[in-house]
Amino acid sequence: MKRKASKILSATIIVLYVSLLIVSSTSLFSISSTLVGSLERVEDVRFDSTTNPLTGVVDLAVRVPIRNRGIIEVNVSVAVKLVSADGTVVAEGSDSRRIGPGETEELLVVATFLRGTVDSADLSFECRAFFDLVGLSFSMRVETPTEGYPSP
Amino acid sequence: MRRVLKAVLSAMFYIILFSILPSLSLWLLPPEFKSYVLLIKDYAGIDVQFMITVALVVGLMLATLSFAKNMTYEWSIMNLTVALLSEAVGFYMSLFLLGLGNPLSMGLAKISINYGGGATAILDLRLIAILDIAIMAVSAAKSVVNFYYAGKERPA
Repeated sequence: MKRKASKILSATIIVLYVSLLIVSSTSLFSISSTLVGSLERVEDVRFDSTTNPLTGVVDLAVRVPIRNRGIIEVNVSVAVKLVSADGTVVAEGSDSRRIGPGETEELLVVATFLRGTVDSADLSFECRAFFDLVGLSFSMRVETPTEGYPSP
Repeated sequence: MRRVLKAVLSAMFYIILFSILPSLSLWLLPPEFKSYVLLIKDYAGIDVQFMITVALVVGLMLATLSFAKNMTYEWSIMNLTVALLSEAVGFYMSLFLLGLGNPLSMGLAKISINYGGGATAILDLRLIAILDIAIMAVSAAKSVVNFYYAGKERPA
């Protein structure tokens, strides 16, 4: 009886350890590879903006290419929040994509705001793997130039 | 004699894994990487030196517990206590590493980066922490089962 119970528990422990190894290695490798793959192409991030001279409305489009160099699918999301001097959110946009291993996708964030109303921008980037159960996210605030929107 | 040798070898394993290897790897780091360790502490608040010191202490604790476990009989209450303590110390160590120095974060490490307007990085490893909890629980159950049946089979 002891042997049977002990064997079942030992087998469970081995299964759990193997699961731990698979989850941590595949997800952390895929997340870090995607991050490194994307940072290598940071110069490919494009900021396109058009300003209506009559109304002063700015249409800003940020294109972020993401390459998954990992071994499992990752879910990548990018969000931009434009904030005025008094802390009000003037405009926000976000996009997310599920990217398979070896694939490259472009995330597109679009925001529309009045020129001169934006004081800073909250940027966030999140990469999750293994059914979105393991993840890494970055968020930062950048001061915008006097033109009123983030410069490239 | 065989029991003592097994106890010493298992204790050595923990000392090498947690106490010697981390300290040695930090000591052998090239100078330029050592400056990164300081940068990580200054900009992200992750004290690698402190983490290695904790690993050293935990390694010594695990080695002592492992030695005591191997030197006691499976049916003794001492053996069970030491086995459960080992699980608890090992679990604390894994939570400490997953939380990048903060075991109370339960695998959700939040790093505030001192850079310009300020940035935050969040490392979500809660699934790994849950698997760790499961491993600790099953290992503890195994120790209790072994203790219970060893007591029954104990020679009179």
